Amino acid sequence: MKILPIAVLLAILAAPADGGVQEDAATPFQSHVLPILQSRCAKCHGSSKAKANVVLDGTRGLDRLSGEGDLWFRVRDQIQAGQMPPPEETPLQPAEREKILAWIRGEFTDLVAAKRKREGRRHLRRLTRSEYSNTLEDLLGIRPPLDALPQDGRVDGYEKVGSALPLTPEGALSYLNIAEYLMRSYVLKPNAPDASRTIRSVAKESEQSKGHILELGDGTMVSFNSDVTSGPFKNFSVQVPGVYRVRVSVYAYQSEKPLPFGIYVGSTWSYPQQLEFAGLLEAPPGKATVLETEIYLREGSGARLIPFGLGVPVPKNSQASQCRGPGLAVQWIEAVEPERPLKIDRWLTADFPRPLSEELRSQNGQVVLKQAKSVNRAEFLSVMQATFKRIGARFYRRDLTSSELQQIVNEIARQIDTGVPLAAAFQSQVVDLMTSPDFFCVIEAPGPLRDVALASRLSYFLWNSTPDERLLDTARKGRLRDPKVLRDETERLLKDPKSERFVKEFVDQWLGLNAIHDTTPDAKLYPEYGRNELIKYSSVWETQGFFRRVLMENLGVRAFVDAPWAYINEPLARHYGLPEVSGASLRAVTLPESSPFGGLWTQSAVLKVTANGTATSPVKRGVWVARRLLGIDIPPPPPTVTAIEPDTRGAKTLREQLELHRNNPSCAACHARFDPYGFALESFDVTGGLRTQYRVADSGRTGWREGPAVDPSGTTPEGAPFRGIVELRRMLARNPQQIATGVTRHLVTYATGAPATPADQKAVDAVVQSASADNYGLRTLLHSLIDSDLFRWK
Amino acid sequence: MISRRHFLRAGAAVLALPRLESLALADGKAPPNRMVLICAGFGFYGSAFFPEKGGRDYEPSDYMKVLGDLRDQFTVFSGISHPQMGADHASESCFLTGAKNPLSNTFRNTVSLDTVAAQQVGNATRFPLLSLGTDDSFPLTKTSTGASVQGLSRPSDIFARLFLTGKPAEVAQEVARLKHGESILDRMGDRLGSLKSKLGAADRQQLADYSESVRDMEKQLHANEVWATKAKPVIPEAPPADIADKSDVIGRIRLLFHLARLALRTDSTRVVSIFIRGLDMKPKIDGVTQDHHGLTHHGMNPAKIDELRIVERAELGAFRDFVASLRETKENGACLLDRTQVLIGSNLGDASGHGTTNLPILLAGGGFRHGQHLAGDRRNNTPLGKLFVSMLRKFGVETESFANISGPIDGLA
Repeated sequence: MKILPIAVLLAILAAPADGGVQEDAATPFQSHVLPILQSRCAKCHGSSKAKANVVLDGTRGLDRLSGEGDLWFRVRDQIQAGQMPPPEETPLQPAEREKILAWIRGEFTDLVAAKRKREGRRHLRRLTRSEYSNTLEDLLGIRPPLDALPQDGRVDGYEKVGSALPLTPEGALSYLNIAEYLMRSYVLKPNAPDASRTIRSVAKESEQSKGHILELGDGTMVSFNSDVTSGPFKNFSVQVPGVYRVRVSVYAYQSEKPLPFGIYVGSTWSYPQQLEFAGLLEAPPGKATVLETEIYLREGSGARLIPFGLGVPVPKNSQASQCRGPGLAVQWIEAVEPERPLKIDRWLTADFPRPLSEELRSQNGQVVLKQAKSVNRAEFLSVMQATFKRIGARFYRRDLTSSELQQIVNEIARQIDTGVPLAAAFQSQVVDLMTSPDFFCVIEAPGPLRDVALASRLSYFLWNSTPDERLLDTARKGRLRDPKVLRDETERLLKDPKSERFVKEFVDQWLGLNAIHDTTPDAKLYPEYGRNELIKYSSVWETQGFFRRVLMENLGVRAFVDAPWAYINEPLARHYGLPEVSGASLRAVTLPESSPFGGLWTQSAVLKVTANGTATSPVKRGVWVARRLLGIDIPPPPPTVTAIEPDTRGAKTLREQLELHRNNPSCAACHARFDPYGFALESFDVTGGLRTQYRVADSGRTGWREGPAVDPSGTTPEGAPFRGIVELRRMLARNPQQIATGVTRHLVTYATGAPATPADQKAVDAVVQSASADNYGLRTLLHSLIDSDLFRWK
Repeated sequence: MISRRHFLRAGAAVLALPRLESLALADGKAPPNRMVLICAGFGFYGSAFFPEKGGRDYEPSDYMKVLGDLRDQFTVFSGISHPQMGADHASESCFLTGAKNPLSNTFRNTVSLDTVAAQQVGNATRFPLLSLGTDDSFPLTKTSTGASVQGLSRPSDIFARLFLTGKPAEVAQEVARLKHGESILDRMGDRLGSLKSKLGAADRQQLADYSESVRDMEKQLHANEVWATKAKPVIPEAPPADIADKSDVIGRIRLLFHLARLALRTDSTRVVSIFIRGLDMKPKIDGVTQDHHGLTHHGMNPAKIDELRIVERAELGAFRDFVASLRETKENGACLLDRTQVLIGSNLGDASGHGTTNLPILLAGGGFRHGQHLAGDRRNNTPLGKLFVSMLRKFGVETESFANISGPIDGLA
């Protein structure tokens, strides 16, 4: 590889005192730190009696030290928190404490950071399921089937970390099956229609029992239920996968207001149905209106329209004609197929001369070399050479080496010489590209990233997908390493609609919104939320939209904790008790003065995923705020601490129960660092609604009544008392640097696929610092991160 | 996983099957564990199914009496169900998976119990599992990604796949297909290997793990290839004829049970799941004059309930004969039933209201200490997943949970 010598050169230039750094880490340990450990810690943590498997005495050379990152940063945490030495032992002298901490923060951190930089902060991984799907969609115009690949794991909430991405035997086979399926079904198809069809289907009557859907005389079908029996179509079936322009003729029946509804696609006929939400539209009242949108449809998919917020007023076996409430009146659906020939076919065969393309198609793909009229052997191989040079570069996200290209062409030659049809030989090598680790894995050599590797990292960061032709070309020419070009490309990628995938995926993984469907709030306690799924969907769009605005307008990250505006629609405004907003589309509104809302942490989606269906937990929410927003590492309880059974018989609220729990000093020290945030958030229930009293189950009409009062007061870890969320918010907002640090650490994990460890702290601080003049603007932080060694080195 | 059920085999030599002995012991090893999972889509009438008292000295209920002298060979459960199934026939797709809320807009199914058990067996048998049904619906079996699996319903077809040699051209095609897959995976593995030298130490572990998975799948395909050309066991009986009459559901059930026993006996598979689809017509059973579905929605009408009991007694009679036949099949002194867990139940508890709590569940065989009624709380049901954990552990799968439910179940030894 040409680049390697330069990498070596850079490594030498970057750390000329590399030898010196290494010297410095082990020597001060031996002379300053080890003696303290031997006299003060070895009693419990010596090699003879290693409590909690921690051994602190004993000489250590550089090799051993550089592998002990976890250990010494844990030691630092425990000493800083005052948890070690334990209360029953004599505490460390200030000088002793300082010596240990200074060494850990100084020479030791440098040692570990240098090692990570040399070897790479992350290791090889395969593409995540969504990265793979997006890559296929961007290159070929087709997404793989939903259940073709297993779900990815999560490490610290992130899918992009290597240890979250094992490769199962079935997964490996799936890459082959998917590739062959695509070739077989969509490439060089004989008699493929020249023009794309328009599918048109009329609304269908009830599939369950007659009269369940109201049939108006003119063929209009009205559905009254917000469930999967609504809005079916007659014989709507997708033959060809891709992006469709879809139009529906609908209106809101028996209603004066517009009725929001969702387009759901998938296996609408199976039992149970497995559906995907594809888009939100609003049916205006009165007369039929044609609404239009673009959605991706899979082959064989059906479609149905399901109105939001109506509950189930027409249960099974009852008559829709009795219903006086609003309904969704549906007449027809039209879907315009993606243009022909399909993108996959067009793109793969773009170098084929027209006569060759036609000949291969006409013979049902069976034409062999001997019979071929449009090309001879040399010409065909020349076309193959050009084709695989072009597509190989896009599949592998780098130019093929000449030997790789030669191997492909040789293999095709070998096949056609033994009588394999030309089309089959060609397709076999496309499958070869798609089943190669160079396609389905992210491959980076240690050290500073080559331009092409940097291009991949950038596009999987901001588009969750493969680089486009332009980005790849910039990298190919060696221009991406120029900070100005890198910045320009970053801006270009952010402005592209594909950056919406970054917004969605990052918000999902950073804030844990993938759990939004995991719990169902108790229907008796929270009937309004359960009645209208649109609140739940809107809450996710709210958080995404909020983040998007902060990103696109480069607002300061302080907004994540304290913003004077919210991004809401009608159902959310009602849910939050804010001044009325009309319509289902989300827009930014100014919040009233001293509103308890403002920022990510008081948004419904966040508050829902940090609670279960029945009760909130100040501990869970408090830990979430500390870890996700403030970037503070909250360790799990030490294994030696036994769970205490406090006597909670006298307690009433969860907070009071926790009080008893925290009276134990071994728990209190840690809990004081996050519980207070959770106490302030007790003002919000499991759906993110505001409350001054807890809801308690009741047998009366509403199903619930007001219970004990909420006490949202507390004291910050720094010792400042607050009465509730409004005061706490102001306090946190005074420290935007902390918020910026938190966000940056999370961006680092997402963007580089390796969590930010204490060894990275200095680099993270530098990124944060560079945005301080800019109010810690989110976009500025992003640029800074991309330009840093954290991003530009493996 | 590729389903080998779909491909027919050719054989060189034939293997004669000695009488009623199990083939699994032909090479002298310890007999393997088996599992049969049966779901009756229309449920079992609760008052006739559940005994009143719990424990070992329970008074047999009407349906337990049908099972007669098998009392010590089974455990009957009450107060047990999968949480959050909704109240609908859609729950049949979740009977073996426990995936929640099948009626929600965002429902995604998960892996089924038979698939998990089959993964344990791997390539040791020709078929990792057999998914059977009395009719064209196979809602029980789901892959590891929750995808549906096409099952088998025609006995002639099942018999052919198990015991008849396939056409040479088809076998050759299957072998070619498998070899092709192996060669692509082989190349994938080679390329992963060649990356080792180019990348760093930290990458090598992941590369090694990925390579191992690829090699694993290569081995699986190769094992499939060996099965493709291996001789099938010979059964000294004629292939069965399909029962064209849909209303003869009892006939169809008995035939499926017969084939299941043959499959287990010849070690063609160790995991069988069977879905008994409820009829929307009058079943061909003496004394029954109305359609089965209508009977299940009895609305407390005693005449309907009486006929419903006739239908369900007939179903359980077939089940009784099946379990008895497993007891009669000898394996090294012990019987096939001792190594075979047989679960029968339904995704519906109160079929008339489509209720999905308080499911009728019965587990026979497998070497458990049976002969009791394990009564759970009717208002606060035990999760059925706990029983599945017990069953998996008995089967040899080391696991602590199924579908996010930790097991095992209390009271079953």
